[in-house]
Amino acid sequence: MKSTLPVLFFFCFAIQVFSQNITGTVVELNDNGNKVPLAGANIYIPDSEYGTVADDKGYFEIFPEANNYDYIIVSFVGFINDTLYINNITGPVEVILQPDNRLKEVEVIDRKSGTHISRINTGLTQVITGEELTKAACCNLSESFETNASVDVSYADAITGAKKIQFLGLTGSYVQMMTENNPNFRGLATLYGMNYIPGPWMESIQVSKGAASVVNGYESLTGQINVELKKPDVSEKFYINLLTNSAGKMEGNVNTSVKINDKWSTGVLIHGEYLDNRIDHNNDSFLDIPLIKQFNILHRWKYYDPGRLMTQFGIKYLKEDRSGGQVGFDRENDTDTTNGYGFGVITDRFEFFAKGGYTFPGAREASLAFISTLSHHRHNSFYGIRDYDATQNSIYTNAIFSKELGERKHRINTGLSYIYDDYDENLNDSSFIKDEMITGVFADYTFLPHDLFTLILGIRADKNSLYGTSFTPRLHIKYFIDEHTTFRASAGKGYRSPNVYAENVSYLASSRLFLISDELKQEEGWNYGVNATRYFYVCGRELTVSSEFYRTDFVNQVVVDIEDPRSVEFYNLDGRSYASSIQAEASWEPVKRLDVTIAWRYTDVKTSYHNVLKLKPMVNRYKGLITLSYATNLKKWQFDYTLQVNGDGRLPYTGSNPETYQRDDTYPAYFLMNAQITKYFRKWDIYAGVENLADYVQKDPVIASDQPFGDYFDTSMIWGPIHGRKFYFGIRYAIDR
Amino acid sequence: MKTIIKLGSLVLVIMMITGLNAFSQEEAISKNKDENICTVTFPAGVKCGNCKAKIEKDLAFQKGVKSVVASVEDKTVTVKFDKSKNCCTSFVEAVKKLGYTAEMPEGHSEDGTKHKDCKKNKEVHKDCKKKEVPK
Repeated sequence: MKSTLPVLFFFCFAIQVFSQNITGTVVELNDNGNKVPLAGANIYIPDSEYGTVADDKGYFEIFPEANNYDYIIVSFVGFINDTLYINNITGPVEVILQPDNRLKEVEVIDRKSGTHISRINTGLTQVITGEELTKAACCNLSESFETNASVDVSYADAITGAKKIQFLGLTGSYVQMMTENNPNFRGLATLYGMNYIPGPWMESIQVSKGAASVVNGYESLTGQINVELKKPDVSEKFYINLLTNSAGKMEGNVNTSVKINDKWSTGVLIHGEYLDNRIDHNNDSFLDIPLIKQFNILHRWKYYDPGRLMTQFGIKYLKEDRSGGQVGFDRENDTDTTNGYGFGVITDRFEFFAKGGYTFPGAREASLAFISTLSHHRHNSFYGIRDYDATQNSIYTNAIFSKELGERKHRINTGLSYIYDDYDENLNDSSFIKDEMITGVFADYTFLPHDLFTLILGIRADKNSLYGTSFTPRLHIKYFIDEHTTFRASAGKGYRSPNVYAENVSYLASSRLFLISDELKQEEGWNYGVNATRYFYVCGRELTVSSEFYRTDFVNQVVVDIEDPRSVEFYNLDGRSYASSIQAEASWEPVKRLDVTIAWRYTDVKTSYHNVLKLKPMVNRYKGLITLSYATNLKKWQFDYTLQVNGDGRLPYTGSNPETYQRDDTYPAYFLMNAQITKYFRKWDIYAGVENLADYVQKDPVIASDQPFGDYFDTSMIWGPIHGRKFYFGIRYAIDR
Repeated sequence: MKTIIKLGSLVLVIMMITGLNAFSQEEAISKNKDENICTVTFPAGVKCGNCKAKIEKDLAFQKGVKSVVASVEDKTVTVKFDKSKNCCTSFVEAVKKLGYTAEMPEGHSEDGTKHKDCKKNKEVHKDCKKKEVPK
């Protein structure tokens, strides 16, 4: 397969439906009860470029790109506005506007907060908009969740800068990470992948909780994080962002886009960062932050014919050189020696993607779509005297056919998928080759008896070349208890193929022995959850209150056991393993232009380690979050502040180490504060901020830093910040479309 | 002791007089500023949510602007501004420059310098005096 497949040049054209054709008429009822067209009525989607006006028959057509928009507003002077939820529209709509004879008692908010719960999606989805991403440095995807209570991002170890996320109490491996509905950051890209999406490239992020739809595969056991990148037809014509911080990091981003004609557009996104400053504030002889040189570029073409065909294709290339270790480590002379401890990772990643969607003419309710992605990832690294070199080639293809059945109340999506992963790993003198092919067929049925209730039942069957056949059922329910209260429930199964070295490479930065059980099975689990969201109007402004409970139970899990400080063991679960997460969140604008969010989350995560059920180590038992964001009149200044309280947790056992290399059984709770000030001008803005304002750091994050080639060296026991207060300053300039 | 009390009282009186004077001056300035504040609404091609945001963002940086509200429903732009620093013409021109249609507000004078609601304004921006009315 490897020798016969010209991966870099193989092209599988892809089309994905994501344009929605919405038509209808706007009318009023006259004194006789007859319908009269409202010519000139406005139909538009807030915070978008989509808007139109009804003709003299009251008819309108609007073709927004779906996924990002919740609702359409229909308005006419002298009438009460009507709101149509896009997800509930399956055919031509008739909007009957009512005369507005009311006194205006309530100031309807025109501002949308940076983060909000989508009202369109059947599953619980939090949308982090581009506006939210500008409230912090947000240099890349890994730093985009500082103001989010649901996603925890922390360092995987003390020296490499690799990031890991925790979601519903579990590691990020159980979240399906996607870039524009393409599964991404799998395998070799797991640990560093979130550093590969620069902040200025992102249009929005959708965080979906619970097992996701069967359409995107079986991997989303706890949820999905989908990143939408800026599109060339709607993003800025030109954008530049320059940033530096007190650690000496320099970063530059340049985005350009061109609309060639009313259908074709193209854009280029470029990112570069450079950090060559050796910092060791805690004087443990190890660099607090790795040295980084990264170049990243994305070039995309888009064709959009509203109501018919939309297609996009593009290429992405990344080159990164990351290194660190001891302050005095000389990469040229000390690599593969015991003169000094160092690490280095050189990454080359190439991706090609293509997608589009086609609506059948005359059969508005039927459409065809599919996506294809090719990627080639090369990872050459060393950690002390351990060398790890690996290559991963991947193909992902997904085809979806969607059709209404009979009345508007029933819809079916069905399709086929194909995934191929080819791993070639070398750890010192050992080689590991893995070829995995997964072919899948899926179907989901949507039942929409009326606007208040949605049920989606999905099933998929996958044949995995390594693990056999699996079946994945998923269920999603959304019910509007009243116009201000939404109830959601979800349940489903998920699977995941383990990649021991690729996903746990940070343990190589230690003296731990890798002990891998034979015959590791595919991971399998169930996830179910409920959510209630209520919208209140307090003092004329919307207060959103949301509460949720999610539970994941594993049928099988590849347990990563670090209970013995001298090893990291991987074996199939023998016993129970589960994660429960309960969260409550409220968002409100108590004073004009002041957005406040308060959240609290409690997690209970336990795993059986050799059949003994224990709290999972380095998982915070709770998290609290307060965010404040204030913009002055006309938004010339903006002030943002975030306070996190990260709860305590268990540390793995280190009692068998010599006393100086032992750690406590638990770690304490701690506070983290970030703040930023932004000054806006017509075309550009400047911002300055501080991360970790209180300068809180985990003490002695590296165990046995004085003996890095000894038996007890370990950089993986990370539960808190490993570098202290950082100031940053940046400037943005944009020529809007 | 008596001398200290007398001196202290004198100082207090001087501070009070100075404070009251400063307060009244501020009030006078504020009143004067309020007299200069004018609100105009003019028709504009505000078609969509992004159009609204773009117009509001651009006009916010025009001189003397206190608030801007673009309405998709009404297809209008309402600007509250200091008429000693700017005039209607600038806002209409600015919206047109962004690529949207815009018309002078109803009730503007022929030379475009005085809206009927701004009649009390005695100080017209110097740039407004000779400006041509946009067509």
